[in-house]
Amino acid sequence: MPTAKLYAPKNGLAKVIGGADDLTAVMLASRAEARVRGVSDQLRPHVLAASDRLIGLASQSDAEVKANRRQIGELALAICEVAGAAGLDAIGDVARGIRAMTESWAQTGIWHSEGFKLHVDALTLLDADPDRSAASSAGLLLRLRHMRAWLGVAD
Amino acid sequence: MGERTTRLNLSRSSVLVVEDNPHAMEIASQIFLGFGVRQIQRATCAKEADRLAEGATFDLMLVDCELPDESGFAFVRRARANGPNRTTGIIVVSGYTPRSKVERARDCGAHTVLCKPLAPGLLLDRIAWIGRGARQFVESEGYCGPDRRHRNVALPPGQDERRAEALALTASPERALSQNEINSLFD
Repeated sequence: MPTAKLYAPKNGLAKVIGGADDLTAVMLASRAEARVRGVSDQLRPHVLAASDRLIGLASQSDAEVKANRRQIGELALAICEVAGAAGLDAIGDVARGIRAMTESWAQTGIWHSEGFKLHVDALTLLDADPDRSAASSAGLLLRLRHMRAWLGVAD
Repeated sequence: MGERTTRLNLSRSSVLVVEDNPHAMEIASQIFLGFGVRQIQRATCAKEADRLAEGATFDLMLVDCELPDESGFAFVRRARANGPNRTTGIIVVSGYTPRSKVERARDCGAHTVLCKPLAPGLLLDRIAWIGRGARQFVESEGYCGPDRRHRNVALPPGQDERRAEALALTASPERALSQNEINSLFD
């Protein structure tokens, strides 16, 4: 039977647990959130431009989409990594779904063409009206999530 | 957030952020600045991260899964195997976190995984969780990192206990207690 060495190293992060003079976790998180809000205006045009590029790539013929799968997946990932911080949560969520579709294809070899097109349609809709309320996007995002689950695409 | 009133001080902590997306890097940097971290090093690829991690000990490394030259998992595995960051707190991040990716991060030696875009409250909660924890480390053939079995649950049927010798040693009532264990009897 293989053996394992077990030991208790010095915890370099133990020193972050502060004392009475330090700020609370809520205060520190609020300070960080304010700083992120400070850059969200710069992020927004980048996310919308990337979304336009993704729609352009993903709206091509099935053969072209398959040929550009890697690029589409990378662009979708780049969008979902930051869209929420720019106040574009719904666009980020659909981009995450597109990434899931391309990764599923890479892993299983099964391409869900119609499911992919529905994601691109949803992204086009949200991209045209990025300030629509979260409530009005919620149903759309939920249906896409259910569809991915039904197709066996891991979220 | 786990404990909202916990008081924290990250001003003396050193952080390495490994991230190729410049916008995600900016978000992470702003968050750490908001937390009061003064020493933030940045790497945009695994090669650069290797160079920085070989030359300094960090308290925390935030590592993107998807790097341009190779996966963040490979970097984490190397950091755990050799060098001054074998036991550093490591949080793996990605915009897309299916279960398979989370398990891969766990099995390469990361402490935990967070989904991007990073939420400051969640990140801070995980940092405090690592800081408060007294998680042991395991070195075995094929794995170096924090003990993945840190919950007190039984082994799956048919699985041998690889840590039998170490556990037998720590279970002995006559062995010398560590200072932490002595302290815990009084706290």
